Amino acid sequence: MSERMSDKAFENGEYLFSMMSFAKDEYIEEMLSDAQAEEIRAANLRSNITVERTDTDADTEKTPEVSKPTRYNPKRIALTACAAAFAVVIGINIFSGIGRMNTDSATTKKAESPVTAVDNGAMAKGEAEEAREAEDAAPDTAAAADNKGDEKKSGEVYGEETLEGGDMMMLPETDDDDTTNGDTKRAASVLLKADNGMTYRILGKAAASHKGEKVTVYKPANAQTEQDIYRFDDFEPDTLTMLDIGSGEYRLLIKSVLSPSTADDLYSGFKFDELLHCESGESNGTALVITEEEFRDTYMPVMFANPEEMLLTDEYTPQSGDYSMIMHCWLGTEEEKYFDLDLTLYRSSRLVIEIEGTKYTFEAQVPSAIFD
Amino acid sequence: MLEDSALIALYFERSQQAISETDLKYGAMCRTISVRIVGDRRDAEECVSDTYLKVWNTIPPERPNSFSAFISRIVRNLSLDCYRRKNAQKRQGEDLPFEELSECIAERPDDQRNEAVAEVLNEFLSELPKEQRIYFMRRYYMGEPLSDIAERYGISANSLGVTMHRLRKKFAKKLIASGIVSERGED
Repeated sequence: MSERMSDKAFENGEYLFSMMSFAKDEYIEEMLSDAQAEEIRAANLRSNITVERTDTDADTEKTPEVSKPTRYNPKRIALTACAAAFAVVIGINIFSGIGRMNTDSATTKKAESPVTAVDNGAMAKGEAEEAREAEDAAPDTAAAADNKGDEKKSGEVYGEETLEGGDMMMLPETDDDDTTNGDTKRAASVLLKADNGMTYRILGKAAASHKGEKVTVYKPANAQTEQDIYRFDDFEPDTLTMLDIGSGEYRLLIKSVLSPSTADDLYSGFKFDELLHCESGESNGTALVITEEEFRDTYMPVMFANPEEMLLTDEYTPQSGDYSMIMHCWLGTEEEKYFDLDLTLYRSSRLVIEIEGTKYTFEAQVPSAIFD
Repeated sequence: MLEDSALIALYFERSQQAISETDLKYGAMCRTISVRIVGDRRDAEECVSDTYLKVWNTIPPERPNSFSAFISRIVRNLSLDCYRRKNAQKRQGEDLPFEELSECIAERPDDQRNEAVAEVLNEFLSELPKEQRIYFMRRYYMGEPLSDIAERYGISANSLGVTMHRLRKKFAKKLIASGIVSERGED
């Protein structure tokens, strides 16, 4: 209790605390339930996921093997993986020198990955510096903050070309490392790590591993497109699929929008609350004075909007048209590094976040729910 | 440990075993709640004893639908009474989240409005996602520290802090919208 707390505030707080005794029996039971605690705990642990991208030699890909099912909640993993990836995008780009971005690539399909973190290929080649830099870009923005100015691989998520009817889509990079790694044909991979120690590494187009053990990635018999769609046995098909688009390129499709609670997870997980501050901004052309608290409570959830939750913040959400917001933010407490974050949530359900000229585009699948 | 229905049956039989079985099943919970509120183990033990007595005197005729809710509410209320008696002169309660809850209201409503406040509280709780409702209850019903809640539910204390802040804001909005309390001033 703060010493500054007034008697009045103390009385008010004590009053509400005592009023909690009027909570319904069912809520008290629910709160006391160990089973409920276990369920929530399991879900929360699953959701605290970071994402790394690694590059591996295509030669190392092996035939997938069957693995035992896990208790993972695939939706939470997928959602958080996307959220984490996005956080990494922001973190990496911000800290690695935004000016180095190739804005031209925003319009190309061969976009660079937002999930760049560890470049095993570079390490194998003895490119120690590059490897170290890539490691520095691991998805802890706090760590990244310590390495401001370092060169890191960074890129963008770009989903201009809608797939699967407008699914939210994360486009892991089709890396250009072929040119820097001789003849080695390389395939990108993504490592999903949960803080309970579980990891999933998605290797190229047909294999994944969990704690070093291969897990099955397979092509469903009823694939409807000419392109290969691979599924992961730990993920429901409607939450995560990987689309092989040829030439060693693939897309990871995440078919959900993110909820504020997921955003919360990534927010604290990536320590944005300590690093990212917002000074001012405008919403649909109207100037805003945004406190840090508002930024955290209101705008971050909007960025990761869940249609249902959006209803709770409809005072900030236009009922029609596009929603745009520009925020003048700064990072860190020691060194103030300002940048503009331009967010546009289109009525067509496309979410575009632009940081210093680099665009990140996400496709949501339920536009009407967002705005209607 | 006995099922709650069997426990209640013992009370109806006026069996002394009811008390020992209650202590076996709910003693730890009662002590935890009470210690958090009164801040003293000896006082808490007294509150728990009084709780058992009150349960004994209440059942029968009462037959609670939820024994856990019933007994937790009794120990909570008795502990709050004890807390008020002990701290009438010296304001204490350092570990209780009074300051956090004080964000929700600018003025304490009259006691005549308690029923309305309770109604808003339950409506608010009913609208929350389950996990958020549980966090809220653990913090403001049990008086549990954020770090303990975070540990129990596998969430970072930091994230939980943000969530709790949001929940308090929602609760405050709900109370204001109901007309029970006025909007906070600049105090």
